[in-house]
Amino acid sequence: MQETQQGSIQDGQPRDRARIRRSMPRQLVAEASAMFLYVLAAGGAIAFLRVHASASEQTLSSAAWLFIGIVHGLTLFVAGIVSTDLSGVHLNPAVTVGLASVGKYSWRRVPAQLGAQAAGAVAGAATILLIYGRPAATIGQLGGPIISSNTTFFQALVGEGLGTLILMLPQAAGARDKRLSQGWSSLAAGLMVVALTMEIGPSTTAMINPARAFGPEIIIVFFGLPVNWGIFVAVFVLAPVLGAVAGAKVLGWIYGTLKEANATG
Amino acid sequence: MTAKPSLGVRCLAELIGTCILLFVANGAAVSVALLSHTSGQTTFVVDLLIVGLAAGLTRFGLVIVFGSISGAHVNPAVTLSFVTIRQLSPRDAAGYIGAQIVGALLGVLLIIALFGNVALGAPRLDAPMLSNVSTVQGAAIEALGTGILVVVMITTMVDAAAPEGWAGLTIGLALASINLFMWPSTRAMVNPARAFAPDLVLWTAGVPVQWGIFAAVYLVGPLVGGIVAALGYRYVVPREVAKQ
Repeated sequence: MQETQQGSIQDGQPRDRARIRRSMPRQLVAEASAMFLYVLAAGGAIAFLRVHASASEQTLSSAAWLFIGIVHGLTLFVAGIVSTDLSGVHLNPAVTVGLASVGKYSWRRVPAQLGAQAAGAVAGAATILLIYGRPAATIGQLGGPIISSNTTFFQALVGEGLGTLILMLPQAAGARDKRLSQGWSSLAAGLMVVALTMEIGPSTTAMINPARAFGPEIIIVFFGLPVNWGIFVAVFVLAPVLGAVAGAKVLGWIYGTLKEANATG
Repeated sequence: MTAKPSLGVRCLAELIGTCILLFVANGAAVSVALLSHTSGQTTFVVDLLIVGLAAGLTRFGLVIVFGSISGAHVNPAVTLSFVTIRQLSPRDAAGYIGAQIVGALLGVLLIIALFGNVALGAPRLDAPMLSNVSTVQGAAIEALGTGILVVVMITTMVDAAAPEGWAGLTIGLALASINLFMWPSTRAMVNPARAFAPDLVLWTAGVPVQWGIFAAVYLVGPLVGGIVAALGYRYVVPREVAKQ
């Protein structure tokens, strides 16, 4: 391990390597590619299961939600680990804004990062359409958000907002704690998503991620499916972003006191 | 050893942690109960798997997030067991337990905010319930489950017997396995706060609650089980032998 590190440093000074890794275009390409795969895998699973369930005139069962939760969580975990060298992909605009709100991500980078996430998500949703064909859009809605008929607007806000807040905690902890940033925060975030999807999924599809919701939504418009953008923005954009900022702020404050306690002995 | 934040901050961590545990673990149970209610499909085994995984995976995340702050007990039985092996002062424990109960109640209220009043009906907020077991059997099962959890927590977090960093995953998966084998009989609370909060909210809403069973099975059972397990573990592995 030590030798390979020594060997690769010969290609340039360590400082240069860190700068190159964190260079904007590289991070954006990584973020967009990861988002593409995330929407393709997670959205594809939901779209497929919706088409499958509608063939026998059923709604998604609890087994389907277990399946969907695991696909979301494991993909998120793998993406987090694989991108450790790039200081981690966020795969979630709400997480990007949450980290920026506590100074763990540069605000100047936020707009481009959100753009990369949106682009990756749209490409992922489009690819679901290519793979599964028209029913994936008209019936499966490309794995996009559907608020169930017995869920009120307020309940949808609670689910998406709180869900993102809880998802934000391990990610914010990872940004503050060296030991956690070596993988454990990624696993915790991924497995939290499994649990959250099983809980919130039947109500709002548990997007807890504005880009993940946006990609499929923008494409199904072209299939003449009605989209209420007012509700979309409130439930799937504003609520997650507010939840993530709240989670990051509270956890940042708690970890700040831990740092003080360590500093004073 | 590293320093700890003030008691107030640690209590806040316990409050948020217990709130999230109740919201996600009990919320997932309510969610699958509502789902099988509306779809009419019986999916008992899958539902059981979901409930167990939701509790265990959430518990894992809580140790990762709050482990370095408060130890992420999120459970009065664990906190009291830690007092008996002198890992926590009684004053700190009083604060922890108060925070855990408030957090648990908050978590239950958030479940109602998410699912509406239907959560008070058939799924009953995943409140504790005995199925096919007597009160004594129930108390024994809860005591056993809590004992397992407490031993795993002391081993991994206090004695640092597990490899560095693995405490969270071990505790989470232990809780998942406890849930998987105990849920069908007592709903695997192994946590007085997790049992009390839904019962209190249901009782306030006018649903009859058997407080005698709560006291025997979900209060005395876990507390006795946790304390006996902690003392027994300390007998087998004395403090001087443990790595710390």
